Amino acid sequence: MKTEKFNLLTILLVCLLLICPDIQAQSKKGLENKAKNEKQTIETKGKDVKEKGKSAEDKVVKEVSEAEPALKEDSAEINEEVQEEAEKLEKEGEEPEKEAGKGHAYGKNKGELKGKEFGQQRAAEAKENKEMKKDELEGEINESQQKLDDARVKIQTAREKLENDKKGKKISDAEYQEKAQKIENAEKQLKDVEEKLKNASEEIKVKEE
Amino acid sequence: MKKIYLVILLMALFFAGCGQGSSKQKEIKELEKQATELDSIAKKFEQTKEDIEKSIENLDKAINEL
Repeated sequence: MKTEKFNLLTILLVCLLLICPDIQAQSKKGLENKAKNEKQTIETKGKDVKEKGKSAEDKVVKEVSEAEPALKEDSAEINEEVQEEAEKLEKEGEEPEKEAGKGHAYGKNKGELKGKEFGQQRAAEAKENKEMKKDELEGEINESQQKLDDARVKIQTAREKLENDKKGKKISDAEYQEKAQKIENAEKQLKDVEEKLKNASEEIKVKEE
Repeated sequence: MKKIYLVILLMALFFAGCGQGSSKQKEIKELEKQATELDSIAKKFEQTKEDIEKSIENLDKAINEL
């Protein structure tokens, strides 16, 4: 009786050992299949949207070519309208495409990669993306710095001119007040940008640490 | 007596197998966490850039009014 129980227990344990990796594999496979399905759905949506955008663009081009000879006099006006329509349609086409790809493209080329390798690839992609965004931000900071310098010169020139005009009594008090207000507003915007650039530089430093 | 050893051995193998799986899972979760953090930093950089662009636009408008 005792031997039988031991045998049964042993068989049960062996079965458990055999089943355990299968269950793990199944859960992994399930996740992989889910990712694959999502990827396919996104790709299909993207294709549809692209086709829609293209056909809309073709339609608009066709409309323009048909409308031009018939309405030569108002051609400029028509072109404007059609262009607006094309832009609108293009935007419409782009928006769902963006939405379709909203869930990032992570796992896009997952292929045969397993859990850990996929995780490593995903982390590497995220790092690359972060570096790219950092470079873009740094570029924007440098560009903005140049614009700030130009703006400072323009504000200074405008202020000097205003004071000279006032001294020479070329402008009334009301005009003076109005222009002074505009200069003040520009200075406020300048300070705002300066502050944002400073914060952005600090942010880059902090996030890099 | 021999069967008891066999059972113990099998149980040890079973637990060793499960333990390994969970450590791997932990590693994967760690990688996922790392990726999420990097994503959030990238997003923050992008938002800051957009914010600067908007401010520059406002500045340009104010300068053009002078």
